[in-house]
Amino acid sequence: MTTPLLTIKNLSAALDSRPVLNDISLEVREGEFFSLLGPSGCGKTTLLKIISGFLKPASGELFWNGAPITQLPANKRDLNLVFQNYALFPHMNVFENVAFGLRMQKCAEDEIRKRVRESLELVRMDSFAQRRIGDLSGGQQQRIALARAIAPRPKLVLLDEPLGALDLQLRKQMQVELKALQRHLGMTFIYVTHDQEEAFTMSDRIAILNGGELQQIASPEELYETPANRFVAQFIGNANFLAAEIISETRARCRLSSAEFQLSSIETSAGSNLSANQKGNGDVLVRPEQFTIQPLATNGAEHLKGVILMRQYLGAQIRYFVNLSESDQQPLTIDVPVSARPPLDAGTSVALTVSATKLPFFWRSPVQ
Amino acid sequence: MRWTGLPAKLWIVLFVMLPFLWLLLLSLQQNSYGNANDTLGLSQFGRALSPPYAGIILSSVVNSLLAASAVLVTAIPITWYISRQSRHRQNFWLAFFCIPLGINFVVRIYAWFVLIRPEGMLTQFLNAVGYAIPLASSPAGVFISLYYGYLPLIILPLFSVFERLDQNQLDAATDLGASLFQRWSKIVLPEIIPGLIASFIFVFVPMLGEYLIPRMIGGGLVATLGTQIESQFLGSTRPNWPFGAALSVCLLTCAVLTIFIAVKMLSRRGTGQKSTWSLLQIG
Amino acid sequence: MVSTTNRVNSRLLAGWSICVLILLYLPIASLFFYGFNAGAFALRWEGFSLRWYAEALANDALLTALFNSLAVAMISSLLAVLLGFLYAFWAHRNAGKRLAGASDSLISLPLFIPEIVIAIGLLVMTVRVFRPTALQLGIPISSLTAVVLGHTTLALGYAALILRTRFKNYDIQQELAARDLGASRWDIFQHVLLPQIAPALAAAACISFAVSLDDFYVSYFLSTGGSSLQTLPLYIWSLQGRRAMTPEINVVSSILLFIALGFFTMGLFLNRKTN
Repeated sequence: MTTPLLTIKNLSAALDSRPVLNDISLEVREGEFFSLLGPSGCGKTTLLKIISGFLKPASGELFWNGAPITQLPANKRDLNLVFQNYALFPHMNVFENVAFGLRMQKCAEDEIRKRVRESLELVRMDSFAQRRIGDLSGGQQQRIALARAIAPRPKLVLLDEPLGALDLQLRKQMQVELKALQRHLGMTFIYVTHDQEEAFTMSDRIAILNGGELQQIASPEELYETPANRFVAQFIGNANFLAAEIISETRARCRLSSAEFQLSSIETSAGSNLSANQKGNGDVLVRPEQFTIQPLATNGAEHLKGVILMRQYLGAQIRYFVNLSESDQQPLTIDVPVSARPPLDAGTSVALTVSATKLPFFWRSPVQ
Repeated sequence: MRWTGLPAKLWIVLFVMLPFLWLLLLSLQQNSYGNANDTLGLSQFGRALSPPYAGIILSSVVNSLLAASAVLVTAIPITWYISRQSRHRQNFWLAFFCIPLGINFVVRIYAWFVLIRPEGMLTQFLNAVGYAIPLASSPAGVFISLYYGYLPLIILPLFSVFERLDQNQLDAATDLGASLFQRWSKIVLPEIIPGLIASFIFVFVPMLGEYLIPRMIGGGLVATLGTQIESQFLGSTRPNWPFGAALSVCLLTCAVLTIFIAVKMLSRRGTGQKSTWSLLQIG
Repeated sequence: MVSTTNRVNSRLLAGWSICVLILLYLPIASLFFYGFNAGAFALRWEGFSLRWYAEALANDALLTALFNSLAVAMISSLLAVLLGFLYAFWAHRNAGKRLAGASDSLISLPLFIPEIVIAIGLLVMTVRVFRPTALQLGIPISSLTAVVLGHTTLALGYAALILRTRFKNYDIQQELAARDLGASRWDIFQHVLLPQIAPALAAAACISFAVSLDDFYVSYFLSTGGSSLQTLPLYIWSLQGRRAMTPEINVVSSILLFIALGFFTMGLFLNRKTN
């Protein structure tokens, strides 16, 4: 296996003596689109600052192609940052902004002109070279910030919520462009965001951070289908948790006061397979689209029973919120394709079945 | 780069704060020249706060209050008018009112002095229309000169007060049926009062310490706090530094007191002006 | 209806403003024109002549005062801008901390205190403390030094205020961006900070220069005690005190008027441009 471009080992950091990152270890491979995802205050910006060299970690080490760079100052690292507020130089025009990094590298003037033009073409801003920064819109400034970061051809580009200030339409368009650009250049991108959807649409792999702790690193599919813990499960998409008890290797029993039914294809978290002698209580994760819903006909015990609380029309889907009968459980969120069947009204009694090949299971209390 | 703030702060401490403390110490000395082995006491303040000096202090305060009020009343309609103009016209008007600030104060007061001398244009004019008020060497002349000298100073601060006034609020009030008087009493005044006080202070404090105007216009015949302080330090007959220091402390106390009251009122009004600099945020 | 009353009000207000402007400018204009008086008395017009300008230019006392004024203004404005820049640089980086607000109040202190008190404080300190202490170290403090110290103190408040305001629009993230792109500290200062702050530095220098030229109190108190340093305002002051005034005073006043006004308006103009 080749050496990863960036390796972070047992990294911890504190701001004003308050710990913000705790024992983070991860690897970023060359050419990868890697996202750091987490709610605000999870430490992702601090991690970004440490990678770029603006902050020194309290402990832990960073390696660049296997060589330690923990002590290397920011201006000596072969990586560039796209700032959240762009941080363009207002006294320079677009060309000079993009040329700045090349000038710092003491490139020849011809070379600078060529590379700036290339970079501007890549972000489709080549006709704006002589404009003043103040005359550009937010989206245009964003592109210039990107061009400025890629112009010196760094191995790694760090992006700190670069689309945060743009409106929804533009954000969606930029997501596509960013991904295409990254593919085209073959550069490694580390993308920081709190927007789960944004991370999903672009990333090869995603690292989820919460409260300074690394929760899981995986591809989007893995994160969604086999989240490592409850936090990840809830942070990625919508999650319904059903209280259940393990009864065999792949089966669990959901026991509600009115009914008892069994779920198959259960997998415990953290890869540990269920063994027959493991028994205990926990929660099964069921995604909204893994339910099927129908009006209650029979009173069979194999169904989950509930009443529709509210219906939302989402375009391609209809979302139901269902209160389970005689249970103090949170209302379930259930998504059904629009075309499936005529929509059900609020107040309708319904029966729910779960149709999935794998259902993640989380222990409620830690097992031995 | 943590040290970069230090030189300026040190400078102010060394050349403003320390001299104040020294003045304060000096004012507590009993003897007329203030030797180091003097006993300390409040006798200089006792002298400053009894006749004739108490009267001089009082008349300086009253004269400055009146002159500052006159300046304020003159400038309110002007700055209101300017603030309702287009950007371009605003700059034009403001430039004309601010140019006198760039003219040396001694020159400007001297130019004014020429007008109010007995043979000067203004005095001649007043005589002609039947108001034979002696202006040179009189308190009336000092008052009118303070007015002339400090009028340009209040324009910018007062302008920024009116500029911040939200036109939409006024339109909304008109829309809801408020008359011109109601608009002013219910909306404009409550909004601008903190700014008016700040602008007032901005001219009142320097007026109070004025020496140049009473000396030049008063010709040594009008006694004010400023002229008394000067004569205690530089006067040819019997200078008395500790007493001069006591008078300076009185002057400073008046100034600090007014500023303190103003800042208190400003912060109570909750206009978001916290720093003392906001009193000066002009242009 | 509303618009007509508005128009009438507006006319009245404009008329009032113009009257006040005339009041402000009339004395200065007449002062300027009487400088071209051919007669020997400042206040009696005897025809046009450049006689007094010619005499002023040959007057050593005047030229010395002019030179003193310019020298003092030059040194003290440079000092004030340097101190003000360093301070604004620091305060910008530490904005929001509790100390920063108190520091701003400290630096702006000279703006809120009657000039006469600052002048007297400096006089007392110079005579009783600075001069004796410096003498013991073998450094004589001349009137020039004392006046420069005073003018720098007066100008510092203005310089710091101008620069501090300009720094508020300066995004510190730019420096991180520049550093990230490989710039050294010196590169950042030279290519990022300085080009953006330079106009404000020039504005602060002009205003400081004008403040120094304009000052009467500090020069008056610090140069009257001990060896005297004649600045232009003091020279005018001394002419004004004489019994028989010649148009020389008008000429000197006009010269000072135009120099100071030039720096003042240039400072205002630069400051307006930067913000």
